[in-house]
Formats: sequence, structure tokens, C-alpha cells
Amino acid sequence: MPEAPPEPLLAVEHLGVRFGALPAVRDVGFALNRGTTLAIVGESGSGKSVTCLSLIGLLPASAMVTGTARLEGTDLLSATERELRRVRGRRVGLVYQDPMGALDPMRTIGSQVREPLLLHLGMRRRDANARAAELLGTVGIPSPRQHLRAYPHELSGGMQQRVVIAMAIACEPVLLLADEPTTALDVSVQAQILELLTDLTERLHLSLVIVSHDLSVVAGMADRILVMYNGAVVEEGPADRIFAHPEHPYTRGLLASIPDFAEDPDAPLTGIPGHAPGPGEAVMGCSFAPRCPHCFERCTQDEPELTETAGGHRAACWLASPSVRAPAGNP
Amino acid sequence: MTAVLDDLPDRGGRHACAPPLLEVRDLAVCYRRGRGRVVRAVDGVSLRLERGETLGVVGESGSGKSTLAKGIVRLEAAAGSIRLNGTELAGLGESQLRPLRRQVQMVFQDSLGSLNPRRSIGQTLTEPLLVHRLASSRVAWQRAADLMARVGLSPELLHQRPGHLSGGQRQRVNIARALASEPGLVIADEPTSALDVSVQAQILSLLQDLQRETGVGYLFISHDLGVIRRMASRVAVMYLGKVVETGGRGRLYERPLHPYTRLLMRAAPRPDPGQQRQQRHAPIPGEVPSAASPPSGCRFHPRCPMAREVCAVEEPGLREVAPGQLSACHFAEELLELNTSGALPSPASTTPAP
Repeated sequence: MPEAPPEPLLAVEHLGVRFGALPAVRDVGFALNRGTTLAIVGESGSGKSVTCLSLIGLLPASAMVTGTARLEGTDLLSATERELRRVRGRRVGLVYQDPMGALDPMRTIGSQVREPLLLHLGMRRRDANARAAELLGTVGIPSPRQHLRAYPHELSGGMQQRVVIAMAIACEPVLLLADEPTTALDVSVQAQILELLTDLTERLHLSLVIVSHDLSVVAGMADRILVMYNGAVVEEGPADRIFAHPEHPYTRGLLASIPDFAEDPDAPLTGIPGHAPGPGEAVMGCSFAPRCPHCFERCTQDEPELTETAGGHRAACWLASPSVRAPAGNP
Repeated sequence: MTAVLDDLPDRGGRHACAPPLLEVRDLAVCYRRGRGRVVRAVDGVSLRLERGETLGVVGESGSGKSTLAKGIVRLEAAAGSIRLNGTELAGLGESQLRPLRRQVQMVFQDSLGSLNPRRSIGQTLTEPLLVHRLASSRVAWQRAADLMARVGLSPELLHQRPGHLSGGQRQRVNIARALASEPGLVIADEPTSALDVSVQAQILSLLQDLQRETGVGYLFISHDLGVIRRMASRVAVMYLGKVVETGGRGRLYERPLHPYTRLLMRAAPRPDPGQQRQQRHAPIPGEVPSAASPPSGCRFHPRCPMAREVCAVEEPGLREVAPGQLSACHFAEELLELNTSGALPSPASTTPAP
């Protein structure tokens, strides 16, 4: 880590999203440096996907978005739809959970991969075609020229996702957003797609925001991890620290819930009791308190703020904050 | 090819008079697709499950693991032998099957789709008793409340409809319904795959508790090797309709004897950044081929880093390579000396197709 931190590629501050009266995302903030990967992790309803999609204006019209998200200095949240259209595909590439839904079933792979090249880069058709084939090769699709003429349904799920990734990187974006990119795929194919994404971030010096419900999936690729619960960030920090020294009881519960090979197979799986609050369900104080094994009186009254605990590691827990925590404890 | 499962070590009760809870021999499920094309979704699978035991079946899409489950409960027409507590199910008519159906229950991945959205949870749980006039309304509802308590739900939820419950609560209801007829065998097909990981852990430990209480046997189907490891005492790994490896959990996870099992373990994501970065370049190449046109010889050979000429020609049978551990690989012996993290021996002469 250099002494003076570089200007982040993406700086998100006080991001909030409401659907009518229902808050979906509350006061989310993070910074993403160039060439690094941030994983947003949370379970269903945590607001992880809404956070991701709000950055490039892909939420339904009913969503009210507040806060700022500066990409290389430009605020995406106050940009007009026309400006956003230029950002999407050009500076920010998108990879969705369901590749079949992201591709047009009626159009050939070639015409879909060419589109951003014609639209954003003003390439001539012939050049675009050559570049499209090159892109398919980059994402590991065998015999790219032949596959340009194929239709999405002729490809397996893994190959479809590779096509979506090819489209996402077509205009050499600075940032890739991947929303649960491997959830619909088999384990063996998932490993390939994760490897491809990691490889692309390195080769193209891309920054990546990957959204996942599964901490294991992002373990090998994330530089930093942001854990969300009930619309808010409960913990954020360097990936190695999050796995080795999780500060928030929710993160610890998530890790303990994973039936990993390293654990004793006969030890009881603890999980986290109860379930997350539903949309609009008001919780006083910390929203994790009803499920938390360490909950005490203060937790049910005041909501803890995200507080730095050590070396760029933040947690929103009364027990993690340095003011309350015993001085001799975690390193 | 019939797997020889008689060589499995004694699991207790084998030499007693009681037959196994479930014994499947040479099960095959075929679909017709188009003119004369037959897809063998399950192709000669043999399994055995003792009372109170959990057998884990693991595989990716196209492995036939879900079709296997449907074949066993005769939701799909299947060839081969299925013995439940020694009673042969093959050839039985629907009326003869009906009393046996109570002994085998299923829990599916889709907790919402498994429940009637228009009926309250209580109506769903009391229905079998009331329809068959096995109990009065009052007794049936009392029993439903007892079932709810056993799966960790408040009886107040009996009056709710499935849509008002969380995914985890609904799966508890499905488990309660499965247990209502006091079955000897529950087939659970990816029961936690749609749930959040924190809720998955709750459901897995509930299933374990209920097994301890009731002695129910589970055929537990999952794509997740980590989940199977927690739940099963024995494991069968399926690939393209066949069992490629089977054995006791301990040995199979410590020293898998089929290249597919080994690679699947390495491809499985784990919550360990250092280990994951190291494993980066070790995923399985290619994708699962279509069951409609499986590769010649060993079905895994086009993706196998160990594949040699013989693998494309000759289909390996499932055979005992180590005590209690069966593998369908021509070169399984070469894996005997390897621990899980060791690299697969690759033959210098052949390069596997991508």
C-alpha cells in the first residue's frame, strides 16, 4: 500500500435507494481503486444488487436514488439518462446473473457483440466484425468466427456468459459490474468464469465490482469485501482481514454457515438463527440485533455506525467499535 | 454395467436379517427426444441405503441426479430393480404402490412451488389425514401443530399461506409434510439450494436432528460437495447419468479416486482467500456434454487431464479400488498415492480436447 492513497476510480458516498416508502439501500459508501476488485456480499434482500444497479441507472423508474457515485470525478447518480447511456457499455461494462436474459434470442452472437462497437466507438462494420471475433477469443470461446453466426440458444450457459462478458469489455471500459455472474452456472463452469473475470481484470487493468451471496465465490478474487445486511453496510475491509478477522457478528455467522471442507464434518452447523427483516419491517437499533448472539441493551436502541477498527477495516457493531471494545483483544 | 455394491463394507444390519432400506440395482431412466432418439438420463445406477443412514448424491446439471430421485419414487418410468425394505417396487401397479408411497417422501428445491399457494399451511398439513379419514379435524390440527413444533415453527403460522412465509420457513413446512406419514426414507433433492447460506445451515441441522429423533434415512441430492460432506456418511458422485465414484465420506473426501471427483473438489469455491488464489488455474476444462450424445468410452474423457487412448474407446466399470471405495476410472490406482491437493498425473502423450 502506497503512503498517499491514489484517487479512487469510483467513490460512492451516502448512497440511498427507496422504492416508495420502502428503503432498500441506506447510506452505502465505498471507494474502489483502479485495477482492484470489490465484492459486495449479502443474502437476499440485503440491497447488494440494488446498490450495484443504482450506480448506472438501471433501477426501475419507481426507485428514488440519493447520494453520489463519482466515476473518475463524474457523478453517475446526477447524470441524465443520455449521459448514462454513454457510460454504460462505454466506460462501465455489465455482466448479469442470467446470461440468457441478457442476450437477445433472435439475434446472432456476432450482431450483439458488434453493437457496442458500432454504437459507442463508431467502428465500421468490417472492423467491428473482426474485433468481435477477437473479443470472443479473448473470453475463451473456441472458433470465434464460427460462433459469430450462432444464436444464443446454441450455446451452453457458460458460453453465453462468456459472450455477455465479451460485450461488457468490448469498448474497453474502466469498470466492470458483475451481478451474481456465476449463480446460474455449474460448479466447474463457475470456476472457469471466475478465473476469466480475474484474468481480464489483470490483463486489461480493469476494476471490478462483483456482487454475490456467497463469500466463498469471491474469496479468491476480491481485494476488498463489503458485507451488506438489510440495506446497509455492516462491514467492509481488505478481503484477507474479513476472512481471518471478521468483526461483525453477521459476517462471522455467514462464515460459520458455510459447510467448508476445512471444518470437522461432524461438528454442528450453526448458521444464524431467524431470518432477515422483510422489506419495510422496522427494526429499532441494529437491524441484526434480533438474530445476534451478542446482542445487548444498546443494540436494540441505537443503530451502530460504520466505524474503523483497524487498517481500513470498518464494522457497524457496538462491540467492534474501539470505544467499547476491550483494548486487549483481537489483533 | 452393474456396479458391484455387495463388496461394500458392513454398515451394520447387513448380516442381520433386515434388508436395506433402499436397494437400487441397474436403474435406467430414458427419455425419447425426437424421432427414435433416446436420451439415457440415468444409465445403470446401483445404490444402497441402510436405515437411518444418509447417502449423498452429488453431481452437476445433466448428471441425472434429480432424474434418479424421480425414478426411485416412480415419478419417472424406470428400468431396473428398486427394493424398499426388501419389497421390489418394479412391476407394481399404482394401487399396490400407494401404501408404499407413505414410506418414501420427497423434499424439493422449490419450497414455494411445492406448496399450494391458496391453502393455509394448516390445510396443507392436515389434508392427508382428513382426506383418508385417518383422524378427526381436531386431532389432525393438533398433529399439524405438533409437526410445526418439531420443525421449529410457531403453530400460529398454520393459518398463514405459503406466500407469507420466508423461504426457510416454507422449507420447514415441506419437511414437516414429508415427515407427517412417518416415512423410512426421505429423498431430498437440493433442499437448500435456493436458500441463503445462513438459513441453509439451519435447515441442514434440522434435517440432522430429525434423523437422530426418528431414524429416517435420507437420499440427499446436491451439487454442493460441502453440503454433502456435512450430511452424508456415504457419497455417490454422478456424471452424465452414471455413478463414477462411490464410497464412505471420510475416504472419498480425503482421497478421491476418480479424476472428476478430484477436480470437482478443487473447483468448489471455499472461504479461504489464500487457498483460492492458489487453486486459480485448476478448474475443470470444458462443460458437461449433452446426455443425448455422451462421449464414447469413459464419458469424462474429453475433459479429463489423465485421459489416454483407452479412455476414448473402452468404458470403465465401477470397481473397488480401495476398501469400500469404488471408482469408474481405468487409472484409479494412480490416484491412490495422491492427497486431495496433489496435481493429477497427466500422460505426456495425449492432450485432452478443450
